[in-house]
Amino acid sequence: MPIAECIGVEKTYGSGDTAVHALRGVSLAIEPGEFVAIVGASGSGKSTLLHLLGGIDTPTAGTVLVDGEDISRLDATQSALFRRRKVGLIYQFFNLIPTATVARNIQMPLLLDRREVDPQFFAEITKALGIAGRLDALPHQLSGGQQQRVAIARSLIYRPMLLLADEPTGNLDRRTSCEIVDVLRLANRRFNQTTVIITHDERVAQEADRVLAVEDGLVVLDQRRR
Amino acid sequence: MSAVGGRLMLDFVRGNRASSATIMATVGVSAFLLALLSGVLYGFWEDAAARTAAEGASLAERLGGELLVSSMLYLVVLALACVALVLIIRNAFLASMQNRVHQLGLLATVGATPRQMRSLLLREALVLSMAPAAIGIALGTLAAGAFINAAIEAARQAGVGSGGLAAFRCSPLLLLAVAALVLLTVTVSAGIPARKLARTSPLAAVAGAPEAAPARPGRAGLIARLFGVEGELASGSLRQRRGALRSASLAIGLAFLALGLFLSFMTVSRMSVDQTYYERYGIAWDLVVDVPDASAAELEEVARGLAAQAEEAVVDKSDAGMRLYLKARAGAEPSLWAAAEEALESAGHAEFSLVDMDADRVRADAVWVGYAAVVGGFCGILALIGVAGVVTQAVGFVYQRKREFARLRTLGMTPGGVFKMLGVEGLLTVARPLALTLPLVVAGALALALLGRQPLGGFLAAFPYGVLLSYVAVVALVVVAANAFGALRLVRGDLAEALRDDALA
Repeated sequence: MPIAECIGVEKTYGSGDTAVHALRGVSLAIEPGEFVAIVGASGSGKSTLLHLLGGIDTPTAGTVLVDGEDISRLDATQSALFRRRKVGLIYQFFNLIPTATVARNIQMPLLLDRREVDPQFFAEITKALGIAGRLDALPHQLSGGQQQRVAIARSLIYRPMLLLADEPTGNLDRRTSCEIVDVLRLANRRFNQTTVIITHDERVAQEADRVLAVEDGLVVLDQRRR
Repeated sequence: MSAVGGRLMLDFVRGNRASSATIMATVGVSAFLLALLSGVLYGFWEDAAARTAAEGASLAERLGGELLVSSMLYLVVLALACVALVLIIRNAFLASMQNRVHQLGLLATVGATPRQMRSLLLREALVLSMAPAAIGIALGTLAAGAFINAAIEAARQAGVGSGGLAAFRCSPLLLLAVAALVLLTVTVSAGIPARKLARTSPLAAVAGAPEAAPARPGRAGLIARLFGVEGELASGSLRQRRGALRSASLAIGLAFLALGLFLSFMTVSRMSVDQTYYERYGIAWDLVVDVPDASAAELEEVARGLAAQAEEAVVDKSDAGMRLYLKARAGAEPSLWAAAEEALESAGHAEFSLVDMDADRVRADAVWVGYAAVVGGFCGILALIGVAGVVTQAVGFVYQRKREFARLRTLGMTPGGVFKMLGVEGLLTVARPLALTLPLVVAGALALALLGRQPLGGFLAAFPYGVLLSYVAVVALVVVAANAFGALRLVRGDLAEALRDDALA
């Protein structure tokens, strides 16, 4: 069974002459353990698709299923619970809490969910991502690459069904970008983490098992590489 | 730039009604407070001037001495209030202007000079401020007039109003002075952030300002234990913004301190007066006679002569010499007062004073009510300044906090969590200054009780805790309500749009 599915999903912003059709009937399915890259020009609808899969936005029409649950009709509280239990979100600009330490940032989704942190899994993730030695640091004391690793660790700590990354290397230099993609690949292989990554970077797309190309609100290419 | 600037200004005000409304409300409240304070202080000053004139002092004498001291004091209070209000209004303007960083950056890239951008921001600030300032000044002056007239009436009823001001006079000069003061306050308040933002480089403005980061992680142990992760986040957020909240916290704390010390002073004074006059011998005296040059034996002789009018009499020492306490016999003629006067004159005493205790008590009560109203009013103004600052922060900075809460909502913070976090922020904003000033209030109260030679148990029993707790409750309620309103706006905001803005930035 697919871990995430979009069925005839449409998203329109505004109305009348100024309406913007960001997605115009997208249907796709993502299987467990896949590493999927979504590519496309600016304004093609990639981020909108990601936001719909992440429960941040709701479609104008169609259905979005994650782990068999229709997330397109969730209310604000339900979608917040969905985000901290079922899906991990990684952004271009890290989105770390500036007043919290690295450790606290990583634990934050579990704390919000009133769940205990598994110390063993926490140690495993931080070691695997190379940030075990910076747990007491504040985000501004880290490099861009380190901050993004913390953001990735934060998304992995609660073992989400789906990891969604919106241009995770967009704010990083080339060498660091490669490191981050390696980290995401590691998480995918080691934890069988289903990952969907939006990228402009062809090198990143080449790392993916499957590439979806979005253009003018439609998926125009769906290519499995492995 | 002028026509373009005007157009830009209108577009911004229309598109940002919330922050424009916050500025207008803040300026209106500040103008009201300044007009109220100025009017009240002017009324006091006029009253003092009228009294010295009634006492036959010359102009030079009137302008010197006590009047000069009170004038200086009033000017200092006014200046402090202006400084506090500048800090409050500055935050409202800062919030609005920071919303425009992106627009200002675009203007800079097409060639607008810092001077032009500063001028645009200042003009916008003054245009937004005109109507609310006028309304605030009018209402504040009316309120000051009502307050002063009520104080005059209370003084007249208490028998201490002679020679002073007959009624509040709103002079055109007063209105002009208040208007000038409000204009100065608004200009300085808007000028500080305008100057800063006009110097922002085009690149930084277009890219957006980075978030402030603390030097080291804070500890929120107790807060986290009491309120969970939302409390921890609230504590961290407040630490990050403590500069912006400093003046508001200071005002809230000072108001609490001033109120607490005044209530302690009142309690000790009333206890002392009660003991001196009313409770000394367990009898409510009707007449107290002070005769500096009399001996105890002479006063006892006078008391024996008043047996028809007085059912009880006691002779005692006082700071003014010998004192005779008399309790009136019901229905006696002539009255105790008249009989006492005659008896003292017959005994050859030229200098004596008679105090009707009923009237004195009424007068004392009225004086206390007057003092309470004045000090309570000042404390209220201070508290209003503090609360206005916090409300400005909670409501005016919602846009700046969109990114912060978008981040938390993507991590899974529910709308309830947002409300809880902002509720805790509100409570901490009020609790911290109060917790810091409470030891000072307690120390001051104990010191006053000690100096007034009052038993601690009696003082603690007589202290009006209700007044102090009411102040805390009202301030806490307003602040929490403001934060709840801010939370509502954040929760209703489009999460995808907030993240999109962040991604573009």
